[in-house]
Amino acid sequence: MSKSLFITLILTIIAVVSIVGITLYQSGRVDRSDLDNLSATVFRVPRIISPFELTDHTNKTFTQDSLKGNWSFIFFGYTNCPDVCPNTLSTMNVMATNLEKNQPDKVVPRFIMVSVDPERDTVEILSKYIPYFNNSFIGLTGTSSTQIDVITRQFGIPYFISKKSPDDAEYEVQHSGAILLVNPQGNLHALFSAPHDPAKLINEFNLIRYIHEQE
Amino acid sequence: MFNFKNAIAVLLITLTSPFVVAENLTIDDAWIREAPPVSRVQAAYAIFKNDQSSDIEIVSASSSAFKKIEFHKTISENGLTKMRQQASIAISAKESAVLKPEGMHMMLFNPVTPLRAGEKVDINFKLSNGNSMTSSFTVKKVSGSDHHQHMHH
Ligand SMILES: [Cu+2]
Repeated sequence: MSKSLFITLILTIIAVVSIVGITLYQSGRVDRSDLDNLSATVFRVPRIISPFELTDHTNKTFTQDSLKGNWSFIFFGYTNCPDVCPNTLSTMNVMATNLEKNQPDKVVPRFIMVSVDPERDTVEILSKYIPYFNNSFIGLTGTSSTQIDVITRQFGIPYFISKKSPDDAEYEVQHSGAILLVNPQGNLHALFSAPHDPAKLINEFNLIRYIHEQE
Repeated sequence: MFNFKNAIAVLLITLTSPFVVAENLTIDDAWIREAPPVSRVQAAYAIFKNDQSSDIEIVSASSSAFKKIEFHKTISENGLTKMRQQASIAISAKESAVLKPEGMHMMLFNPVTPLRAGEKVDINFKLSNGNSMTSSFTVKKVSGSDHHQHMHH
């Protein structure tokens, strides 16, 4: 590596680290005493979600307003994902099943997967994929990455379509393994980093929900 | 004294043993994640146990049920979850290599026919010393109650 390239690289790394730091600071992530010991990151002020428009796996329009009225767990993935995505959707299925059975007030959140591979993940593909995990789950896609980026950017979800060549049909999509939580007001409320444990997610969700309802 | 009948019996037991024996390598908990209806890729997991005092290296895997099999490791880097292809699976002397969800897996490409839970598939492994071995993998659907079983091995 040439010296100038090396310096450019170092400067880029410093710039990226600074931007991430500022973003984290501005987003107001704090350790509130009651939420101290959670593995989830709870935003001090839930973030307003700017308008986006996607299509669900039953071919209905899904926007930021569709998130209102109930809690939503949102995961980003793709259907040709062999390991992490099916594992996360199974985790969500365990959560959904447990909550349906055990939640005293029957508040069962929505479970949503947003595809970060709109080129392959059409509505028709999602209509077969999503119910395989749970009939009540929601799959969202768009007609272009630009459409998907409107939601991934504001949710802070990185992804990368790693095609080895333009006609590579077996490409992998590298993506964040995080699960996000949106509150019934339709605001981004918390973030859960991978790996995910269904029992822990349920416990933390109930605590986060309780504190939110007290406020 | 060499007993031909006993030798045949030992050979038969070896060949029909549920956990395939080659070198001193045993394969345990060998399973394939059932693919959702539209997926053309899926993962296989197992525990490879090396009982001998020298290392074993698995250099390739193949099966008549799939177009291609690769060794992958799921890693997390810069906030991205990605799969890194591995040239081989190395199992140190007296150690085990554990292939499990969100860790190492065998990546199975393009099944010849979709496989349903309960079906069994043979996967053939080539070792670095030129030997090969075959093991039977059971297709499983991971959901609900059996989820934990695989998560916390
Ligand atoms: Cu893989």
